[in-house]
Amino acid sequence: MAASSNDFNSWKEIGLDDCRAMLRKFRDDNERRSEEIVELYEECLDSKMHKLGNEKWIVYEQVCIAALDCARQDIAQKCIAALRHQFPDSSRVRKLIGMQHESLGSFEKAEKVYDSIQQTDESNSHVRKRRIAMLRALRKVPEAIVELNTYVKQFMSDYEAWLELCDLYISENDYTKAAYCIEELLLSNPHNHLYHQRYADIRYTQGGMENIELARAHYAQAVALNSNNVRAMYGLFLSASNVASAPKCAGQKKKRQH
Amino acid sequence: MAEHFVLNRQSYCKILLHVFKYPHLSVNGLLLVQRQKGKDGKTFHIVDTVPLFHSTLGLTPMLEIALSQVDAYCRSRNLAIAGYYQANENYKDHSPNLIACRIIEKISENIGSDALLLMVENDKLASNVENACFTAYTVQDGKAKKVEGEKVQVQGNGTAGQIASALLCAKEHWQLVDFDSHLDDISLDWTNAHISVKISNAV
Repeated sequence: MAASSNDFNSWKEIGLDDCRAMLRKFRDDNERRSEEIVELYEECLDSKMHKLGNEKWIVYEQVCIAALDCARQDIAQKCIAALRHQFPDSSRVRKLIGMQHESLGSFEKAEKVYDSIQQTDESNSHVRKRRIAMLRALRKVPEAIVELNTYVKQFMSDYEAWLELCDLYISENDYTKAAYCIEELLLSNPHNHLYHQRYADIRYTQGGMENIELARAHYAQAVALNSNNVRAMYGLFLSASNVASAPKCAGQKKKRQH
Repeated sequence: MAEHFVLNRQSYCKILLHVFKYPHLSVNGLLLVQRQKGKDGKTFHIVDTVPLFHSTLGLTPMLEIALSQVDAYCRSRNLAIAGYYQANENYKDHSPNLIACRIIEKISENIGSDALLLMVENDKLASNVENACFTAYTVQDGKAKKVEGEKVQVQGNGTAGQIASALLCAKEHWQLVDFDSHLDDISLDWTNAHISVKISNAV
């Protein structure tokens, strides 16, 4: 984060290649850097889109989403117009139009666009995720949870969806179900230190000696997988201190474990 | 509660910079006061804020670590944690949730009097009237109660908002470090000394 903000003052002089590389990095890392993307487009890309070759369509899509995020309807409209001209029947472009309606607060119009996409393609997962995002924007969290549960039953390997479901459960203070979501992720990704650390965070938050011992085990695993994970190290320290200072009746159990 | 709270320009600007840096996420942080109350014995001067997190606010381990580190920092500077601010993810949602109430109850226990809860009003951030950008609450028996507008004020008669706008235009919000960023890269300073200097120079 610090690196790009240091570069900011020099963006007026940024070359096209550097600009493309930054946008590519944001796409690969799946980062929401909308303000920066819009500024890169305005400072550098606006007049040079024709030099990007085939990459320009994916850049138009990226800039469009960033512009909708920053309420820059002028830029978003320009991008959508260019994409529509090139891909007149594309459901991916229609999804962007749906997102444009969402950004203007016209959720019914967005719903109609997504319905029409889903009629032509039942298995389109993007549209289903947009519907869940709309429910979240409308603060209908219980309904969003129901829809997302239906979604993950069908698309079990979508790790983003499981993480989103986990976040929704945490916002509703349902830590047991949030832990279940991370357990699903741990089953398919047992070597991901972030999942172990997140699971341990949830268990620690639930409290109770069993949960804290479980948290300690998962923090330890996270540190073993990545010794630079500071949150896991702090968590290991906290949970181990909690276990060590527990009342004497648990002392027998601790001695057996050691 | 008969107390009066006054936020100085530094604390007000830091809250806004934190919110501007992560507009799509919920953010929270702590309010620090000087240990001695004002001359009338009833005013708490909020002199600084520590931005805490910008991702899931509902998990406790890192919050415990942050609170103990900030507490140690406060003791060395004769400050105290006397409040908490939170900006919700949703544009129109300004209501305090369970997490905010629990944190305020913990802080109140620690300082021995009612802690201040500031909920940022996302849709009023463009307002020129500084007091409109947040609603103040205290928490009693697990429930949040609104505090009258005159009891919480921002120092400076409108200058704090102007300073925050100037910092936003200069993209200073990208330089703000919260506790979450510090956990990602330990070398980053969550006291934001560099930002404090820029705010004082802007006065």
